[in-house]
Amino acid sequence: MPRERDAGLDGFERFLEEWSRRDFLKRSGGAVAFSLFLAGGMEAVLAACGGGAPAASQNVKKGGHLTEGTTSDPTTFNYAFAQDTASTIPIGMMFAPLLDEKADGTPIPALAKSVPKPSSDGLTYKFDLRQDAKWSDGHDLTADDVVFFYQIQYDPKYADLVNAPQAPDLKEKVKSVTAVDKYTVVMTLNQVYAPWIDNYCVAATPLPKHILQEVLDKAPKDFRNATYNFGPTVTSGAFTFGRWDKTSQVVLNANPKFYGGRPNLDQYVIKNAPDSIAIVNQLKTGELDVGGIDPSLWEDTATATNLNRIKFTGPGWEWYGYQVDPNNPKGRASGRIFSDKSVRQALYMAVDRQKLADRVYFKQAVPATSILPATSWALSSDVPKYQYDPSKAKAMLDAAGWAVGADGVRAKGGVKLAFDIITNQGNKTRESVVQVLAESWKAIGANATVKLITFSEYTKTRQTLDFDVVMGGITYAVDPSDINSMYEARFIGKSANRMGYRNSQVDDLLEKAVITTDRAKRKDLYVQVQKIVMEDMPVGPLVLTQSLWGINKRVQNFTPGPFNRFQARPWLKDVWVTDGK
Amino acid sequence: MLGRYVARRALVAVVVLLGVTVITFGLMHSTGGDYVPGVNYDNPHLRTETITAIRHEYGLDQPWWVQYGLWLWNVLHLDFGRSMIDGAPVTDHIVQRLPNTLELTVAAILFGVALSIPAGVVSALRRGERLDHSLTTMSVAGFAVPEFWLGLMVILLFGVIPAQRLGVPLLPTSGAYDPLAGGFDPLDRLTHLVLPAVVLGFAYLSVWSRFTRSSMLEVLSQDYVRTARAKGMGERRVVYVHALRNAITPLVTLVGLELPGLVSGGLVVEVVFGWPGIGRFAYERAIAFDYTTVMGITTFAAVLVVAGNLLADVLYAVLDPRVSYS
Repeated sequence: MPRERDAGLDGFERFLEEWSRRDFLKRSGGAVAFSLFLAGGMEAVLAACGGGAPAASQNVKKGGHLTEGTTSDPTTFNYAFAQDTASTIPIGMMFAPLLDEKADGTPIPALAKSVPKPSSDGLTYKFDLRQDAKWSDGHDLTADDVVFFYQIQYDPKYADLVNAPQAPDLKEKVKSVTAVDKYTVVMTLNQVYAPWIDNYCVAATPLPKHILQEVLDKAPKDFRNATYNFGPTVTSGAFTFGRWDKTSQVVLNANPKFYGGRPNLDQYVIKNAPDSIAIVNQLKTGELDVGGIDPSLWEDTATATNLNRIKFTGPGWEWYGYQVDPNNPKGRASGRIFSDKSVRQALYMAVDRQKLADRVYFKQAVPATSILPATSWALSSDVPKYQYDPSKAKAMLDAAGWAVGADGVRAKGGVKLAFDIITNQGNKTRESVVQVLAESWKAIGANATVKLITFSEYTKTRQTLDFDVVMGGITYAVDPSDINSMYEARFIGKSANRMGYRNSQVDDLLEKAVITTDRAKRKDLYVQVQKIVMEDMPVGPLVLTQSLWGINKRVQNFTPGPFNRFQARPWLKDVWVTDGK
Repeated sequence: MLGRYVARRALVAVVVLLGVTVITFGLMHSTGGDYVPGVNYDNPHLRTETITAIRHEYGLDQPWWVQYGLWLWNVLHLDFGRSMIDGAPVTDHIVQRLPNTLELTVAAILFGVALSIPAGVVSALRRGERLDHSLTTMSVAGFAVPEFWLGLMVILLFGVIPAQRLGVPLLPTSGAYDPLAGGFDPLDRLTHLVLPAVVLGFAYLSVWSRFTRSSMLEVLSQDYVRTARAKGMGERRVVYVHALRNAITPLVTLVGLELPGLVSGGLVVEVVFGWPGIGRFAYERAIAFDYTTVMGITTFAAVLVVAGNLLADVLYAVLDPRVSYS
């Protein structure tokens, strides 16, 4: 029975029937060629219109906004509780710090009019504050606010209830922090501590005592969860709090009353993107103006028409460590394998760190030569040098008595040169690095097995020391004393000294380097430490990573450096956008 | 009779909910181990005392059944606790994000329904012809294609490539609204909704169009359709007024089955498009071992599913006299 046919559908049907494969290829080829032509044409047009970085002499435009991308959400806006850059970036914009920081980590004045030198006995620091700083509600920012910030962390009356992350350190180091007059703060330490300014005064943000004292007194144990910490109504920095759409973005507004002068931008948005790929995509679409670029995507962004890119060597240091404590009951390998220094050194020489930097870090890293990052003033080149030399490594292992067995694995006295390498799963770079390590060591006769573990198990190994070889990465702060928790025997099982490394000479040198404030003396001590540790080799320094940034071409003066890229950003108020939008 | 039936079903629902919470709790804690959420383990200054203090503050040092008991007690008082990572009440988190997820999943369902009806009908009417084959192939492909891949392709096609070639993206590729606009501009919200809703709806479309097609075919072979034609009724009227109406009833059931998925179904799309929904949030917090938040969201979703099923059971019993009360 004939059915009525829908005319429209008929046309579509005919189209499908008549559209032969040859036609398809011809036409799609033409379409592709045409769009390429269009694309090329557009680029030519844009180039002709002078698209490119504007001349430096262009006048600064006021107004507009900037959107920065991060891959995680802030957890708090109170510096006393903040531990991650997603939180410290907005904190640094909303709160004026006691001292600010240059790109190389040198402290510079901020609320404090000058960077104080310690007293002759090295125990006291006097801060003279500027007298024109105000809170956004009009109150003066005074020494009381500075004292309040420290008090909640070291004063026994509050510290154990508030439970700030830095409290254990401050309770141990600080004798008192007092307001001598309205604009003078005196800090007295229990013992000389050279990194005091760098570690606890730079980027430290006074809190509004006139708002928070009563919040604290009402419920000190709940201070961490005070509403202020998630929406600071009263701030002191270049920007004020606009709003926080959780897991989406933080919006900050310019503070016209900022003592350093109103920022050029009207608003600043810190937008949360799901991962590094999303950040690069949004940089390309323009939904983000600024964001960090993952090393694997660096080449991909080279052709982005709307981006400038910057990179610099940051304080990142990637490493692996051996379990070297012979008395460690968990150390299957340690007592019998890694107790021999020549084994540790030989294994290190079997790793091609340059290739690691080129392939796994996509050329966005350089081989490390010591236990400090490239940014450290204490970095020494007077250390034992280890070239990539697998034949020498093999010879060293032969000489140490590790003979190659029939299965290709070396053995000595019935013990095989076999061990595990652990790192946490979920970090692609680390997973690749441990594969490279395992393969490099297999090539010289060591049977290394990769074990990827959850992050919680990985962090547990700090205490249990339950591993053979561990791989990780550290971002160091300015002061070299950050390495103490990794190489001093008293931190075994308590902090970063997972390796169980003991060297009383190193302990002595590291302690001495903290109790003198003479930079030259300190450097000399650190030079000695590096020489010893690079000989002892409880760790194998791998690479130093680059910090990579994509910046939209309309953004000017966005100039992060190794130590002022996240929280301390004294250059931020001078950032401006060429279109003023 | 009905009362006893409902009571029995309700009791089963409570047992199911308890089971869900116990299993979720157990799974989280057995994988989490000693890990304390919110602590920055990469900080070289981190001390064991700090970790211990925070663990104690969160009650994580107590035996798991004590922790579960305390949590359950609080939940019965409608207190879901606070997030261990950011300290905000869990219910606040849920309330802030649930509307965004609903916006996305409802839009996806509408998109799916709106397109699968014509697709299914056309396929049925042109059964065996080239149009039918093409639509079938697209359906199968659409079902086989992973959402995240489709999402990334769509981001490239409508966002990255136009932005690089023409200077501006055709559509926004992330978020539910422009940060500066504040989320109150309906047009802004709509443009942000297009890409994720289409990607999410594509999966629905693929399945539902097939269903509509077979349902339509079945209806078209029914006696009453033949009768209508025999009476001389116009083909258009037969198909679009009588047959279609009956063919889409199974579709209603299918859409109904998706109701529990309203809360959790958009997870992959939410992550790819940075959509501020509850699925993505739960996923990120699960990775970070934010115990309280994950328990809160899982329980909430479980309550919705169980309540929905309970309601459906009771309605069937009330409406359909063939259902016995046993």
